[in-house]
Amino acid sequence: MSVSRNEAQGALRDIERTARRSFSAQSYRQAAPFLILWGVLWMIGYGGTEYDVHLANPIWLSIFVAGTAASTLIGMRVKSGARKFDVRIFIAWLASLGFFIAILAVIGPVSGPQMGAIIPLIVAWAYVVMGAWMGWRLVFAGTALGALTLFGFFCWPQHFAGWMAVVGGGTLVGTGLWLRRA
Amino acid sequence: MEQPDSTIHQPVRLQIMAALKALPAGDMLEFVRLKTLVGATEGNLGAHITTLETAGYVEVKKDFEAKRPRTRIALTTAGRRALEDYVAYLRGILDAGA
Repeated sequence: MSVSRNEAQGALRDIERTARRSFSAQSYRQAAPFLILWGVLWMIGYGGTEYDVHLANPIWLSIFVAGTAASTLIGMRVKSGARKFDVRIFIAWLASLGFFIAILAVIGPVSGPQMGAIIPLIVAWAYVVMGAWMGWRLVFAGTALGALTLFGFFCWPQHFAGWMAVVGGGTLVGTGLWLRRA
Repeated sequence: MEQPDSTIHQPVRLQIMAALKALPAGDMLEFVRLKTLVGATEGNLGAHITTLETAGYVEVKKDFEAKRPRTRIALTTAGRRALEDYVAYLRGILDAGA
């Protein structure tokens, strides 16, 4: 059995392409439950803020606590269903929290709508950057989330929270379901 | 390697090995997901997995998840090494012709 130069080139290309698709599919499968979870929480948080802005602080504090606990549980299941605490996810979460607090401390007081736009924009940026490695579906989701956040903030400021509940939360849930099917 | 590993050299089996190699060591891929990635029919994929399992290149686990049967496949250490050797063999052909 002999292999020609062209066959060798083709086989290496096939290996590379299949490995890349497999890595993307695996990354999507692991990211999907986090997106669905936070999409639902955003719907509750922004929806509650739209309903009564005075409830925003207790609602978002509860969402932060519930979301952190649920994300930790989901993170423990990523290794083929085994319950195993992954310290990297916890460190990434703490780093993100510290980053948000530091940024807000540096730029000074921000209004509720500004705060409500900054976090989705950072999340959108993170999706695009992660998508460059993990797969184009995350790039698409991040671009859509960023564009829709900016559209709601500038074009519909009076109902920005309601817009983000439906469109922001909906984008995360929709993307999560889309990634789960990959 | 004078000759390519005939077990891996078959295109579908090569794709199966490449898909499993992309996972972190110890992680398993569900049969249905592997079928989508490789684009093979269920029977065809099952036959190739059996060949790879017989060669000791993959391990197959069958269990239940939410009362539904589930088949998962992972690359063994021998399988990972065999694929690396095969890739080195292919690169050797390209380097020799350069």
